Amino acid sequence: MGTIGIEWVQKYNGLQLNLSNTKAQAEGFYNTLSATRRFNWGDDLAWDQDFEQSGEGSPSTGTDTTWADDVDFVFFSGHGSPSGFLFGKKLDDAKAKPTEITWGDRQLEWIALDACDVLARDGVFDRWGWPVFNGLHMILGFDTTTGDEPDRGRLLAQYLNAGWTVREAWIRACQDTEDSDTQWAYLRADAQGTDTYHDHWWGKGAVSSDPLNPTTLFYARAAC
Amino acid sequence: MPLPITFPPIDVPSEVPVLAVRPANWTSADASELARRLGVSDEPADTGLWLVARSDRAAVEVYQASQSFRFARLDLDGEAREGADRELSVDEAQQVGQAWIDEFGPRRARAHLHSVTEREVLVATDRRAEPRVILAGRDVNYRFEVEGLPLVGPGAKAQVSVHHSGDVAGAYCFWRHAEATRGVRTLAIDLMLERFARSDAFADLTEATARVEVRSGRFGYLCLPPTEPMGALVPSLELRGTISTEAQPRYDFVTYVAATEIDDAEGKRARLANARPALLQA
Repeated sequence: MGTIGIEWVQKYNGLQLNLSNTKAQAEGFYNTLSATRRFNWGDDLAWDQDFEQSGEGSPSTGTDTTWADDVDFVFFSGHGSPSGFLFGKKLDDAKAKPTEITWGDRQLEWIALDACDVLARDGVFDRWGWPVFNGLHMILGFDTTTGDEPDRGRLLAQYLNAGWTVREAWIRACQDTEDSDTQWAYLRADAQGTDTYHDHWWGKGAVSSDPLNPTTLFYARAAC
Repeated sequence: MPLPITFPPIDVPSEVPVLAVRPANWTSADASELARRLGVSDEPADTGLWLVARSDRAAVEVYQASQSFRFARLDLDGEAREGADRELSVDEAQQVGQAWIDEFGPRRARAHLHSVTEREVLVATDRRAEPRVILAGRDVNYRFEVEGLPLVGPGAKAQVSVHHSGDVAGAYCFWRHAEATRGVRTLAIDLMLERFARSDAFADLTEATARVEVRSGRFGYLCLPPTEPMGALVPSLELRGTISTEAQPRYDFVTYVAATEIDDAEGKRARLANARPALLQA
């Protein structure tokens, strides 16, 4: 059985608009997916450094090998932008930035960044592609703004439990919960001998070996 | 200083009909018949939220909480990795989409074309080279109206995804049968906007740290995701706008505010599921 963790932010402490449904959304994923649950950090206990690589950036406080990169699937729910996803507790700069992130060198296969604009099309390979993928299979996110809604995490988990592939499950969960002005997106990597297109959740179908040195990156987007 | 919010002029009808939702009550035979019409002859299996008929070629998923369903071709590559040797035109996609919606769309609502959007794939094999751009297909997007009033939110829309070959690669129709019953008075627009401005969302922001502009507002009936039961569609004010802060210079939002007074106890007595959904910000 795979391992999962979630982080979510509702209280932004004046840094940004507060959100109402990120806790329900992330915990819906956490409490529904057939998985071993490792961590659930919310509001002031959700930190950007949980996603960042040790030794990267300034200050170099990253602890991803303890948290985000120590499980198979992470779900983050909060604000975002093309240059990172945002937290309410300013320990570092309250933003997890791709320049301080390398995922998959320990454990992480999939991450859902349920936040606005993180996977905006222009420059996505340079931001979130080549520098970030180091064994990671797929990032799920949005090309556009997305809504503050409570159901998407649970539905993603239910589609995964039902045996849909990771990409199919994400597209379905987004279409079920957004209007068609929102654009879902994902970014995935393949290397010699890998096939992340057909990835399923652990125990529900085929899972590719890790693309440790990606040779091809795929980005897809469309209307919800 | 409290956060000032600017609003455009917004018109809301003073009285609107209550749109009661008829329960879905799908039977296995209903789902089987729908699947057969969509070319899937395998018997549907009950998987909880959905009744799913699935063959090697395609799948039909019926949402048990509403009159919604989804069709997906399973034998077509979603990233067009076989190569797209022709560019599907907007007109061709729209014709394919309209034919599908005419055959499978709801009979009790007016479906109107909202947009035709690209299903785009970018492939990169070298960090120094420009990625290859593939138009895998086009999505034809529809929205619905009942009684001349728009349905808003995720649970009232349809999409026909047209593969670059011109085939229907997938489609969904999210819909609930709703019937007008009695009329109900809407809240004064000033009260709706005041409740929005006082909501928890803005509690920690000030004039010094943020700027909020609502660009548009319209009345509509909020429809929840097709997986969620509803007793009645929720009269709502849909607001679209922008918030600017130092951390996020431009955050475009869409949110919903109740357009009528919602009495939770009365909703329960009337056995209305999701009378006050979490999607309402105020």
